[in-house]
Amino acid sequence: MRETADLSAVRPYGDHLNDGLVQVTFTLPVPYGLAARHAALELARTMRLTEPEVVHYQRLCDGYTYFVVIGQCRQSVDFATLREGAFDIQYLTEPEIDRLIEEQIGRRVVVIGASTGTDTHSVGIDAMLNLKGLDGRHGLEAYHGFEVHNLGSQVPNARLVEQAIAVNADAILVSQTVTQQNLHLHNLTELVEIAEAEGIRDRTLLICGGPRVSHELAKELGFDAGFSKGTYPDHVGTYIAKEMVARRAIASTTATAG
Amino acid sequence: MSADHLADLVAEAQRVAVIGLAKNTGKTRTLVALLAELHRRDRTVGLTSVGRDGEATDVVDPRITKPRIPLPPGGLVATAEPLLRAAGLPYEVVSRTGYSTPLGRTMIARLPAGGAVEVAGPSSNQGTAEVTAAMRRHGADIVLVDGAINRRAASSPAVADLVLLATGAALHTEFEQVVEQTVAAVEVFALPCSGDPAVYDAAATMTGSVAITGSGAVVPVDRALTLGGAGADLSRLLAGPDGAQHVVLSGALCEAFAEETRRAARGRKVSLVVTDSSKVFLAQRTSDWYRRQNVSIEVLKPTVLAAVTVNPVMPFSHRFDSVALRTELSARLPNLYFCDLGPHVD
Repeated sequence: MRETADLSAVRPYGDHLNDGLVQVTFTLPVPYGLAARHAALELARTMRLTEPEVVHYQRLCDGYTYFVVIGQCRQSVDFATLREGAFDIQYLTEPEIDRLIEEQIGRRVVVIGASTGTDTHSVGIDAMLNLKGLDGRHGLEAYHGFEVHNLGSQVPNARLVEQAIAVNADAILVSQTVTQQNLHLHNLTELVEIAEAEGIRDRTLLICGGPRVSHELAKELGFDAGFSKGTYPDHVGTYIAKEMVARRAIASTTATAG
Repeated sequence: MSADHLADLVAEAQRVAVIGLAKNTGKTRTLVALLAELHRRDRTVGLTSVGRDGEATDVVDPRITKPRIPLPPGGLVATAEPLLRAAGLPYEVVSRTGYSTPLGRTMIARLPAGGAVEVAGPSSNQGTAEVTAAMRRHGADIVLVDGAINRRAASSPAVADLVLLATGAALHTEFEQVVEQTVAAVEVFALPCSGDPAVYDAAATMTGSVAITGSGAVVPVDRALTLGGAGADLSRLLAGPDGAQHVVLSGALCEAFAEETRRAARGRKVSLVVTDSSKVFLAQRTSDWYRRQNVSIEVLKPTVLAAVTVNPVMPFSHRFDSVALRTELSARLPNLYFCDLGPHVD
């Protein structure tokens, strides 16, 4: 039987539970040689890795050396408390999402997406929505449960909201490269405000994605969810399906109670 | 002194929205000053945020540390459940709401001993109005609604009786631009009410946007036109002797529609009427500019702007002279109270 982890003190897993094994890769601007190897081990120790080993190193170019180092991390995190204290979603697979939609919603979920404002970067939104998806994982277009409309890039917020109403969208997805400039933030808040002004805010899930979008930023911007690096279409699909089911459940309790 | 006067200004209101013109204009500071002053006056306070507030560092620029929000003892708060738990303060659950946010589902709680808490209530107007009413029912004399970034939706009279506006150096690196952008924003909050009874009659029964022609006919205006963007052909709507005199919008007034209206009306006087000022989205031109072009932007319900707080500092960037900024703003907007709740650190 597989040993179960103590979720109040989770350590990295290498070969067996709680061995704390981690691997780090980095480059140092030093010439390829034995001194470089010493430097890498010294650096690993300052990272608080115990028993560090250089398992691979190679010359990158003159004066630069690349390393793969393994070592033991003695620190642990309290996953149990963290999970209880933070917002969490457990991801479903494509067939699971389709089944959830079919069984609990009973119709296809309409999703509309775009890169808005002056943003020409449609890579993110395309990866989430288009058939080919990302890294061998289908975009939402491939799912039975979703009807997808991708408006492309540089779409004005007003037009996106107009189209969302026209196709009766359940969810609006936008991608935006957020910088510290107010411009990008204000383009995202404008979408939320126009959706509010048009009276669709509470019946549409607003989702934003981009390399610097966190849950915290999404909340400030007024979105229902924010997705960042490391996101796959099934993550977004899970969120939409689960949130719609949750909202329907709340609406029906309220209706029964009222 | 200025916080004291702010509290005087909001004393009679039940629902007060604190709205900023950008990030780092001082919404949190305004909120903290008001909370302390209202507590001193023995008023039970309820607090919600359409964004998130009370966090230790800024979400966009982590170098910027932010003021914490100490809720006075007995105060009520609408926030995401995980944030409330993380605060580690004693609390009583008043009710759970159906509103979810990226930080968790929101609930209303009373903090018997008060304390610093992160506030992230429902993001929408409907949700905000709902938790505001619930906190009032559970004993809050006054509810403060905290805005986020530059979001203005919560300034709607449907959500707040009174609005406090935060502006400052974060808007722009140039003094003149901070003044111009603040003046333009205040003009939108202060948009006049429509004076034509026909507009209110039409608004009472309309299911979408409508135009009222010179002869009094009411014709529907498709959303594809109002939100359609540049190049929307409004000449059929506005040209000719019986062209529209008023367009009453059920939703947003976007810049492209205002611009196309101006073009199609060819100098004839037209009014564009929105429910309230939070439905107006102008970025290129000011409402004053449109008025001078004979396109008058009006509202059905006015927004009451009580005061403007001015933060003359943008951390890690630039600062202006606070007195000079307030003097200039007062000269341009003479009937409004401006104050600086400093000191500011950068």
